[in-house]
Amino acid sequence: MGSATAPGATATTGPALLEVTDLVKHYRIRSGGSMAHSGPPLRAVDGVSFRVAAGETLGLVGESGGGKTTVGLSVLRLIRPSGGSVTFEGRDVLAAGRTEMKALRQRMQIVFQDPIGALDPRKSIGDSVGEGLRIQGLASRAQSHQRAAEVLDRVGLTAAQSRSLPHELSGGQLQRVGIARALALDPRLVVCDEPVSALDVSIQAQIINLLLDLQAERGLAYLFIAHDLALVRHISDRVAVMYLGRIVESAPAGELFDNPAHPYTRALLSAVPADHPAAARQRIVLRGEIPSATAPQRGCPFAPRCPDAMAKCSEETPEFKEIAPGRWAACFLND
Amino acid sequence: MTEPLLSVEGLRTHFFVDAGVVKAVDGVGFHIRRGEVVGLVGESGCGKTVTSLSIAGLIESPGRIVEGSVRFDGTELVGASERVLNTVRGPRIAMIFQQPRASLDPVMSVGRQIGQALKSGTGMDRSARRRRAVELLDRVGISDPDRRVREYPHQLSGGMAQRVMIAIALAGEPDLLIADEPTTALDVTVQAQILELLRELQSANGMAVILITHDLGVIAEIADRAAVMYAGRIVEECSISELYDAPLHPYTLGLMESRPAASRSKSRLRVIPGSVPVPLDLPVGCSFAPRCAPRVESGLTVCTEQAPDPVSPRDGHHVRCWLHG
Repeated sequence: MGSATAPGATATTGPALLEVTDLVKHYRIRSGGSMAHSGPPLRAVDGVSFRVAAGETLGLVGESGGGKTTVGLSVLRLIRPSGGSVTFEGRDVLAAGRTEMKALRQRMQIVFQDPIGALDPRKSIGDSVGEGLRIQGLASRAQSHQRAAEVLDRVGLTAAQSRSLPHELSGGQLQRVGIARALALDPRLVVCDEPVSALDVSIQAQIINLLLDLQAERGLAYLFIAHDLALVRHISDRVAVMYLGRIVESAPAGELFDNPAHPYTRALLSAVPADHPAAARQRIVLRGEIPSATAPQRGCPFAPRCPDAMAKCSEETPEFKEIAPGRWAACFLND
Repeated sequence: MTEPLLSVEGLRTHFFVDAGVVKAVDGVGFHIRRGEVVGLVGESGCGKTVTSLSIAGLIESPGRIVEGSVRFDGTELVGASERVLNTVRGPRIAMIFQQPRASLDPVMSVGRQIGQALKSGTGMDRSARRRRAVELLDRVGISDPDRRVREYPHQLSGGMAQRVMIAIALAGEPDLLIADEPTTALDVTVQAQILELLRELQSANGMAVILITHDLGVIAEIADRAAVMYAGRIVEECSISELYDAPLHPYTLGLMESRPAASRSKSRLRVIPGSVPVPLDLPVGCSFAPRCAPRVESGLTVCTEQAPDPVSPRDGHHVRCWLHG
């Protein structure tokens, strides 16, 4: 890896809004009380590259522990990556100074799985939504109230609800608040980290529609992190699949789901419950569970669980490379 | 036909709180035959968990079963003594839950926890229980069971902890397993493993399963029949194929249509407007009426006046909806 162009972009997309190259996040773990002996690092993210174009949705999928959330937080520099680069609108996010970072945060926002954790329990919904504008120095108190009322209205909440406290709203309403808060600053990119997985089925569809509508209206780009593959297929233009800190495959959503190129993607998709009871499926049941990211790695990280592994796979690491226009995979089977 | 293994009739479980009476379960009836898998589907707060706790006799104050009957293999469980309940609950009706680690004792080894479940009824001595625990761990697909049997819950992954819960549930060779969102907290790959295990155990042991879930896909994978709950009632009950191909209740239809798979990519999803009603303040008439688009189109007024009774437009397909009767 380490090539000049970040992989994953389709031929038709223009310049990248977000470009992530060789992103690495390692955590040092202190083992059993001894300060002197620290164990091998936990490689949460281990060389990830991708691009997101303006107005596009990149879905990021994979089992828990694969590093999806760490990528999302690193992109916004909510955590400090150990290496690699993040470029947003041509600016180096990781090198940005205080003032520049403040300006960047206005353009890149995040929506979390648990919106109530991101809200001050003592502040009204309207105040929380307007807060970002005041911190950014973009608005006076009166202007921020006006703007908060506009975005809350846009996400389907009433003026009365904007005066309420977080605990007075339902889960679906709170996620609307989370989205309004992200929208208030008029961002270009929103990282959505499992935005609907805590919601009831009938409410999930309402929130997905809101995200789709907002994208169409404002040309928003989404980095959409989720474990629900049917949902990711529905909302994404392209999808990247993560395993043990690496992207193992990326492709346009339809192609990835209809014709997966990596054995891990195939296994993941075959585990999704059927759309219909008559849909008899050939299931690739993966042995075991995702291994610890601290285990020393040699060869392909998926090899120990891979139904198609060859001798070579536990010796050499396959390169993440373009296997067809717009389609990337790290697997020797595609050679 | 022989008597069903479990028959629930007219079950009402209410919670008496300061703010009023929460009618969590308000007239639930269904049955399950030996070896059958029934999916109980619904959104949070619909009463599916309270239904299962009522069956197992695990409702505590301020909750109470105020009416109805739960017959298990000829024995009435509502109002039964603790002595009677203890002969049924555990050995014959076992339960597993969404958070397996929360249901395991953190300071007791896996082997001892399975051993405790074996103690009641089997008369096995300690070393026999240990051997059986190892067998059970092996049975639920835990590799290296001789080592695992000595481990503690914090040493297990989520998927492994759920397998241990299933091993404990199987200890008494139950006739009925109630599985409450058993795979919701797990990754999709581990979910597939656990569903496969449940299906395999169910067919090998002839065990009946009530699978409680909000996930229609999980139901499609494993259930023979489904009961859809809304606001404390079963609004539709039918075979899995009818649930998917010919649902009758507007709520079921709405749930089916709001799945991403039912729409073209990147298009808006069909939605059910509004949200689930607050159980303290249920609407008069059919609880779903305020969210029901077909009702508005039909112009029916009875929906907001009177709750519908179940009707059976097709053999074995029951629905509570004025549009169908």
